[in-house]
Amino acid sequence: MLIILGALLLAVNYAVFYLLPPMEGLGYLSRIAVLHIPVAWVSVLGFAVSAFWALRYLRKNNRLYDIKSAVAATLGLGFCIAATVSGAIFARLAWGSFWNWDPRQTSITILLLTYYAYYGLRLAVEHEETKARVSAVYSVMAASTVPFLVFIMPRQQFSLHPSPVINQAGKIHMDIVFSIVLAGAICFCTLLFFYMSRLLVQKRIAGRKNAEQASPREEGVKI
Amino acid sequence: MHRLFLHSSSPVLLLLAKEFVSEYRNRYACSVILAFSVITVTSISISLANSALSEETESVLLWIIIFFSAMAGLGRVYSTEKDNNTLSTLRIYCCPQAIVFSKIVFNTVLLLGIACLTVLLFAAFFTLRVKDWVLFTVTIWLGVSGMAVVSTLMASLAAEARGTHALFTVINFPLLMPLLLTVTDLTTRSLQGVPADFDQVCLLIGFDLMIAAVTILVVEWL
Repeated sequence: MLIILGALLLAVNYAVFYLLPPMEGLGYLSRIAVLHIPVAWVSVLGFAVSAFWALRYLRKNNRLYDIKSAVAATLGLGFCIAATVSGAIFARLAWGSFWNWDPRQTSITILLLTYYAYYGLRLAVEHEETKARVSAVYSVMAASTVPFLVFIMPRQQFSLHPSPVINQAGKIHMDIVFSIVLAGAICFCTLLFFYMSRLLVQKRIAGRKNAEQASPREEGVKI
Repeated sequence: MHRLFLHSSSPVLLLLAKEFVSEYRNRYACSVILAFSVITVTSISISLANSALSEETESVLLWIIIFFSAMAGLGRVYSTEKDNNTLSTLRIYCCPQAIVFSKIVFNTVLLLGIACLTVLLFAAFFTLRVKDWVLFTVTIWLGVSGMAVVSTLMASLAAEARGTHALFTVINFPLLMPLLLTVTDLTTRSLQGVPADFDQVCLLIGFDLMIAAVTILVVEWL
């Protein structure tokens, strides 16, 4: 897995710096899109995965699903921060200021707040099972507002944001080299997301087992 | 009035009667929201010292006040049940959908009252002039009902946590943001007399329907 990830990372980096042609109107600034688009995609994927495991948890009541849901939300938030920062750098270089409340920037701010509140909720509830249940419900509710923020609202207003990969017309008009490099980068980020979530889930289970050995009265992970 | 409802066989009507009776007995939520709305409107008016506001500012202020009054009072429907340990009794009595539905209706009525009051206060203090009454009423109605649905579900989550009140606002705000942004824009249009953007009204209806559907599905496990 690590070898595949490393090879993909090297290949995408090589392609970005040696193969990618400068884009019309943006020049070499288009390079940042190869980071920005996959990262934004993975953050939405992370939120969707979190809601999926949250629903599974609510139905099966298995503690493992709660861990998976929480890990997916964490990674989604991490990737969302990366998307915000890369977007802000692009905005500074292309539009002249880091932040100007473009519709896309508004919606990503709300996304960040949403999953920040998810953390607040997890920290505020003490009882383990209540915490899992409450945060699962919140995760489902939050994920159902994400389509409004990511797909609907930015398209209703005028935006400076370069037209998204899948735009209103449903057409992809991009250079063929750029599409291939972007596809590679998206593959890399998605694999990285699943690899990291597996590692984090294992780590949390191990941490819980240790805690369980230290105080045997607490309820353990039912797997 | 409530005796009439108490003979009803529908659990939703009974629960609704229960909400109104318990609110009537201590009038806590009403008075807190009322005080909040009046205090904010008057303090804004004092600090502005009669200078005129633009339509955008008026609609943003109106919705900020409605939102924070909602945060001040709507969380109570679940936190009191939690404090009195009465939630499990309700759960034995009827299905979770009926409980949440009655609480949503109660919160909607409360919030609608507060929205009307805030609009009246705005008319008195800031010379609010509505040019498109249909759009204005529809916007208030859709915005308030969406807000009531989300905040009722979030109240049931926040009731489980420590520091309920601060958390309630924090988890509500981001979820309501798409609604608030659309609603302020539509209110501005109705004040300016600019024709409504039909897409935005659709977005609002879609948002309300979707959160209602999610609430009905999810409340099963609460």
